[in-house]
Amino acid sequence: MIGTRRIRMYNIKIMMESTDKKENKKTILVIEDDLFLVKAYQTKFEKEGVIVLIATDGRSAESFLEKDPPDVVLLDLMLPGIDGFDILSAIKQNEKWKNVPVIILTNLGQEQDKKRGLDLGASDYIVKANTKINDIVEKVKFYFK
Amino acid sequence: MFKLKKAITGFAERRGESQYTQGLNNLLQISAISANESKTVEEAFQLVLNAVCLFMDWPIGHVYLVNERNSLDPSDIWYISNREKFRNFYEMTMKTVFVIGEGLPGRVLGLGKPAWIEDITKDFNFFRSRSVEEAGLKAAFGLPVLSDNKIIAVMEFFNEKVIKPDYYFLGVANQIGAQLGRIVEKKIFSDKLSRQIEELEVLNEDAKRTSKIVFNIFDDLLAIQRNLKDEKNKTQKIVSAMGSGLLVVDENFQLLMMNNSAEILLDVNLNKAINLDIRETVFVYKRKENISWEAFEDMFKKGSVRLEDDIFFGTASGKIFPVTVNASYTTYGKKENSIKIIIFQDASVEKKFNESRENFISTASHQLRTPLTSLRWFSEMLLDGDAGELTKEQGDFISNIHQSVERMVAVVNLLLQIARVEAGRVMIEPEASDLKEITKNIISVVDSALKSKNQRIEIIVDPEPLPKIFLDKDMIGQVIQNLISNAIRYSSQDDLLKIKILARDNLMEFSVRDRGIGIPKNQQDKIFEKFFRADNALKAVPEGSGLGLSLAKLLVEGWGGKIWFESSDAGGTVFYFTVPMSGMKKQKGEVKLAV
Repeated sequence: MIGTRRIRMYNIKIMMESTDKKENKKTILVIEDDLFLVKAYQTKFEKEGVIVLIATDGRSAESFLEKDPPDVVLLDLMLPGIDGFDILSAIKQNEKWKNVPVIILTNLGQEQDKKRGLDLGASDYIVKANTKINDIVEKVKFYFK
Repeated sequence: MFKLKKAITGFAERRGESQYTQGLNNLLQISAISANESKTVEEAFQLVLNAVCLFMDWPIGHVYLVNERNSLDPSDIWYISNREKFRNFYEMTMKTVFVIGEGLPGRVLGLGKPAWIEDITKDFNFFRSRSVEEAGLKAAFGLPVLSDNKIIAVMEFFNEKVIKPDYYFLGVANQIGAQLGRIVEKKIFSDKLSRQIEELEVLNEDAKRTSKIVFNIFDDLLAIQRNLKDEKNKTQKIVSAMGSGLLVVDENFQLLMMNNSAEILLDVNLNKAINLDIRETVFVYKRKENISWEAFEDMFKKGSVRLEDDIFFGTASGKIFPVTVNASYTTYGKKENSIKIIIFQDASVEKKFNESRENFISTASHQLRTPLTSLRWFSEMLLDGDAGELTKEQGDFISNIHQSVERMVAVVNLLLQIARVEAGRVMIEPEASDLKEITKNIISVVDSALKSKNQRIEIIVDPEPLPKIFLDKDMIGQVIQNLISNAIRYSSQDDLLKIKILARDNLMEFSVRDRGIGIPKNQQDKIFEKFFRADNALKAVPEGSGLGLSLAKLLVEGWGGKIWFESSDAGGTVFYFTVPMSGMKKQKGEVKLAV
């Protein structure tokens, strides 16, 4: 429920900010179900002048991707419904989306999860609790280039 | 049946006379137990035959049965150590019938007591002499099985050596024969009773009104049979309650014995399985892959097969279950005669438990770290001024929150690492490495801490360069980092820390020396305990988890090294650890140490 409400909210935001896009603003799609973390990403990246699209599950992520592929995707792994790995392989198998860098941001730190993510084509694998939010911003900026 | 192993081992190690007589007494007991446990007369004969042959180290044992004409028919109950070698003798025997006085069995039947022949090739009364000579058999003895004062069978045994009569053994053998006879008697009686009961049941149907007496007899008989059954059940229950399955096989994997638990676990009947090739009866899998018994033996030869080895047994009926195995070998007689004693457990429950523990570790890591991430990031953002300028006091408070959160993340991470190491799930991937290089890398990781206290580190190695040994860099790096971090943390500004790496005969010794606060004498024995922090450490550095040294100890001992320290109340501590020169052993695990 929360997911769909937010999508609607952010759809409106996209329309409002479409003028920003023309000014060459970068866009990130955050796929994350923890609303506190969502808020943190949003605050931090908007301060950097980045457009932040938010999806709390795989289905809303898909609708964003179909509309207009973002510059970078930030992807959590443990999500309700379709999990992060499935979303990642869907992105990497789609001709239109496969070149979008996907950064996995998760608290699953096991080697086999990391290997699976990178094998599926993720550009980076970051354990959230071990990383400063500023370092994440820097990492994303690196992939904008 | 475990006693057989004891008796055989005892026999193999036999040195003095008293041990030998003790062994004979054990053999007597084993024969009684084996015969009692068996379900049929044939099985009782077979078990006693095996026990006597294994104990005496005689390669052949066989049973002749007395028929109603009082002559002897060969039975198909055999103990043969080498089927190929003795094939002709076997075939000859299976065709030979004896009357009283004829041959060894006939002689025993005539005499009514055991008979011993030192060398049958010189005995004119031996009928199977051609096949005997061919097989190289010399000594023989026969043993009557008496039931109700009548000989019902003759057990005969053969050896390839000329052996003088062992009268003490013959006495014991006589008792074994008598014992076996009583058991046979009991079994025949019980069979007879069952038949009688069936007949009585038929009669009972026909003559219900007039059969009051028959009824009484019927009840009595039923009670007797129930008693007999109870006795048998009791023994069987005890054996099957042992839980572990027991298999005894010879060097050719021929099954010599198994206990009831093994029968149940493997879905086989001892009766049908005895003398069968175990390789065709029980299938072995590593994970999902079928492996040979020879490959499996390579694993249990070292003593045991653990849960982590992922070994499964598959039965002919299609059942597959995980097993843990302990095995031992006993040799008897000539070198080529060896038996394997395999004890195995159904490890299904442990396997399930391990899987749920693994799930718990990964779920706990995720669930604990997500709210900590949120705390961490928002406090970072407040400190960055993302929500506006903070007063000095607000900044200090938030900074306290941030530091505590970082500490909490570190504690959760350490706990996770410890849980993984303790669960034996961490993979070890050794590669030839120079310990000095690894140490230098770790020093660069802790560089900011070092600089903030203006400390320096000196590294001394001997010899230079160090020989390369097989190390998992993550694992040894974790230990070195924990020790260096402690040294930095608990020493003063501007101090010099000394690291020494020495290659000794069969090990590499690493040490780090500081001139810090030291470890109080009265708390030194607790220093590797989880969450323990010494009083002076708590005072000097309030943050710290008390887990770093626990993890270090787990890791060092895991790779077969030692960890210790020297310290005094006056201050200054040296921590040491070692790695065997042979390096770390590769271990397949699901996770790396990093969290």
